[in-house]
Amino acid sequence: MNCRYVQSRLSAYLDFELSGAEQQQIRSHLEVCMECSSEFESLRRTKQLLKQMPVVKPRSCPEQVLLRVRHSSPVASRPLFGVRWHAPRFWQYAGGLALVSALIFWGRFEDPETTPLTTASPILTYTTTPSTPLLPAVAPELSTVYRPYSPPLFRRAPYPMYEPGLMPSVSYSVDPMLGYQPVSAWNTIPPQPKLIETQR
Amino acid sequence: MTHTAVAYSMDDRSQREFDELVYRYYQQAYNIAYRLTGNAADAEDLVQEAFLRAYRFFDRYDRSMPFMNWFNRILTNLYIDEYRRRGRLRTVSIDEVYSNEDGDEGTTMDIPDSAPDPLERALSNEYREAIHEALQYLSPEFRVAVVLADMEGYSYEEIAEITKTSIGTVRSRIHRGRKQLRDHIRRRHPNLFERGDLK
Repeated sequence: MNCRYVQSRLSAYLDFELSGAEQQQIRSHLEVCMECSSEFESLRRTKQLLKQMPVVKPRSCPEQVLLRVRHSSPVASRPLFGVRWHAPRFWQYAGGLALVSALIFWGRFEDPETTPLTTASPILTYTTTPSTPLLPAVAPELSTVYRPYSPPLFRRAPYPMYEPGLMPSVSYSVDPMLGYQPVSAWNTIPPQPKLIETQR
Repeated sequence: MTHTAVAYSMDDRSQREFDELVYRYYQQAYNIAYRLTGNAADAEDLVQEAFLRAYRFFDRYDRSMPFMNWFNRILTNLYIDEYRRRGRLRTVSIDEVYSNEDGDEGTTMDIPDSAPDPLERALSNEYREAIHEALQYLSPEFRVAVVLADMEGYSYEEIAEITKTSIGTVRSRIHRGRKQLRDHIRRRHPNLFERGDLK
């Protein structure tokens, strides 16, 4: 029995948590080994110090605990179907998952360059590239509704879920006196395509 | 749903039993919580929360087990969870502790001294504070093991049951925890360890 082995068991020896034979072996070793004996004494002293620590008196009383217990919801926060619905971490994961899936679905669409933003008549509406100035100089008679094209951050759906006219975009109406006027953030379908066709 | 029904319908007998247990063990529970958390406010919160949880799960309490063994499992689990959640885990490097250990501790063994042992007197406030502070340097698992063993007098088997670990783990935690405590206290108050012959 070497010192290293003995020293690893000293606390258990001190607490009488070893078998009878092992207790006896360590006791015999401690009688002859000063180093291990000293180590044992320091551990015994530590245990004594802890034991002598006074019991701390609480400021509160058990009635307070019982009062709180009585007024608490008796429903335990037991995991439902193995999921802790009330845990903040659950909502963190759920939020992250929702964000990732939204990005995935948002990006799974066709090229916006080849996809018209709306199904409106090209006679009344046309899009420009960003380099094109926002002036209807080319064909002012065709641009009663002028919708500047801006490249989207993400690819858009080829077949929008909603009515195309309700897709959020900024549109401008051209008034001969007032110039370009933003109509609304929620564009409506350009008006009266049939009327113009009949005029032709 | 079933649990709600059980909890609401906690009969008077169980209610009275629970009340008695709270009255009987409140101080002991608070003392353990205080030694674990290191301050009164956290200790009160911990005890309240632990009793609340004990109340909610009282129908699961196995009466063949001492109440405090069952309750301490709740309390120590709550404490360790809360400690981790707050992210204030302060670990003490064992290497550091060992490197500061002085090698001449054996020399005190041969000096006979008839002066009264400092431990025979009540521990002064200064010593108490030093020991209490040293406890806070232990990792939560070590602290739980040392507090339960040395302050509350639980056996290794009971601590293993409370902390749901093996006896070997408990033995190792207590041994390492005591050594870290000893080194910490000895650095501050070497006189507490000077009188070695207490046999």
